Amino acid sequence: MLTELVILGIAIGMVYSLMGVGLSLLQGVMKIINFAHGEFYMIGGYLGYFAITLLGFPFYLAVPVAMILTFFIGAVVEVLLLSPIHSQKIEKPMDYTLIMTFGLLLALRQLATKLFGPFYRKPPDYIKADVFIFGVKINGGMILAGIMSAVLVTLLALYLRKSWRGRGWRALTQSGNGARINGVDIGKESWIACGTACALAAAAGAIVAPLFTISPHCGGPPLVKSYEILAIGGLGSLGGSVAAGIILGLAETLGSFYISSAYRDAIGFVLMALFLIFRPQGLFGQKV
Amino acid sequence: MVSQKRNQYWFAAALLFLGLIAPLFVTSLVWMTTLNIFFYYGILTISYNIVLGYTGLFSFCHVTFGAVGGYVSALLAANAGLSPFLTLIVGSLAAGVCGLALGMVILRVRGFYLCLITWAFGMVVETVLKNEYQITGGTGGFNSPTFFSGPNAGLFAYFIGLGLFLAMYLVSVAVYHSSWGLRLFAVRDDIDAAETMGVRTRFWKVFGFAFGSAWAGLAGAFYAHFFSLVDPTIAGLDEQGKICLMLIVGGLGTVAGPVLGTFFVVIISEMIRGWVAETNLLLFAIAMILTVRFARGGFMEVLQMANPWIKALLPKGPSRKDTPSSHPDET
Repeated sequence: MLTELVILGIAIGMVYSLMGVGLSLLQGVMKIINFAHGEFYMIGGYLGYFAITLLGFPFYLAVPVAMILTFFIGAVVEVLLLSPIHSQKIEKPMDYTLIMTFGLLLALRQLATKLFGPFYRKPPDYIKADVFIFGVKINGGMILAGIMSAVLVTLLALYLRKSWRGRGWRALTQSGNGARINGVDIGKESWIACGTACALAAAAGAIVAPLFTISPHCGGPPLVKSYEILAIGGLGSLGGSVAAGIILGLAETLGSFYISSAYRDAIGFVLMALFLIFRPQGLFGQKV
Repeated sequence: MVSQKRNQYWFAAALLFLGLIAPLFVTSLVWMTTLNIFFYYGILTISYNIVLGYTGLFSFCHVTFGAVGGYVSALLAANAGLSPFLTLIVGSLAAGVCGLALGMVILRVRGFYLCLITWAFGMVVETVLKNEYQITGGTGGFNSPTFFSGPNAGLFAYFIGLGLFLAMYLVSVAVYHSSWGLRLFAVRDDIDAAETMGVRTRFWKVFGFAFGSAWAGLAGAFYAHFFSLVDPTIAGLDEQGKICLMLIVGGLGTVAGPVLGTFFVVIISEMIRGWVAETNLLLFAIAMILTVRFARGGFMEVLQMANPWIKALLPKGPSRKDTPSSHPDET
């Protein structure tokens, strides 16, 4: 039983870190917090769902399609709504973004309700079979979701470490002015980074759509999870986000089994509160 | 400054006058109810202005304090048999104490963590209200006693609402011009500078938070006893979005802005209810995005540009004016 719970916890934790990594990337490059991050998860879920049911794509095509489309949605949002942060030099960029993305959250939720109706939808399972690991039977869909998320997070980490653009993003994370002096175009990098972060959230949504159903309001819990990851792992630290995602997944799975499943969401909240009070910079973050 | 203060009091007098003569002209029950909804949202928005506009704290659980006040007041009035007027005060104090406790714990963290924790707190309270149905009545809501009974009960309750609303407005004017207000603004604008100048920033942050929360609890208690029903939806995120929207559209950090914003949103949403029944919130969310994008001061900024007389009603510099910052934007 314990083995099963631990494996499930790690798998779900990888999905959480996929959400958290996107938020962390955006925080690093643009120094903002996206309140509508969960809505891009919802959009990704819907896009994946329609790609599978309407167009008949297999899941390994549907997830990239959802990611690419959401990348452009995220880029458009950045160019239209968030670009004044670096083009007009707003006095308090964080406050501006919080209000703006909160409005975006409300608008996207209402729009999804209008377009798709308030129902719960569920694409067909990606894998029917169960998997045996260490002699215990585990839902194959969950393992697949964990593996896909891990692959995406690894790809992002490689991209950040190896590519030229990834270097630019890391430079922006360390110092905006320093990066600008060395020729990083903030306007361009911002929309690409915003699109990438939204695409990662969309990937998470499309990956777990058959496990947790999608609805216009399904963006709330993943949003809170990704914030908890940001608080536990520390700002602007990719390794911290992954570690925090796994910690959160394990704590939730074990806690909901051994304590009570009704308080599943409260466990992450308590964890985050403890971290904020006793270690405000998170696991690997710098002191603020 | 003096004429600004005087104009703000004249605005209060105009509100009082309009509120007193309104029952003569507004005869339909729907519009009377709409006016009471306006008072409820008005108190919430002005108190949210004290938290967000004056003190600069991003609280996403402001309506939660309203629900706390409403439930405490309704439960006390129904189970202990106390007068609704007494429980109104108790509910407000309960929300204030809640805000004080939460504020003392969470206001040590800066920036966006605050909205994150308040968000999570709001979600926890909403879940508890929904699940502990033996006490709170669950999603169906809890029936609470009304202020008055008899044929003219609605009219009397309307005047209670008007009184509370005006009291809230006057308090916000008084705080705006007092030394308390100056300290709150100092905390909002530059917390390090405020600390250097000897303002006890931690205390004033908690004070602004708890003070606004207490008034939100009063609004919730009024709602509970006027509509004789409290349900968990008044603590929902959509409600928080509405409050935020009214404040942003009206003008953040101004005195008359929240009143105008609330009036605009409540009345317009009642007027367009007929033909776009469920699209209300979508339209308003888009309005909020456009306001933040193009006129960050809201209504008040637009008015300020339009009319020099209204200029006196407003603060000299809106809280988020579009000036280039002189210091580097690194954090």
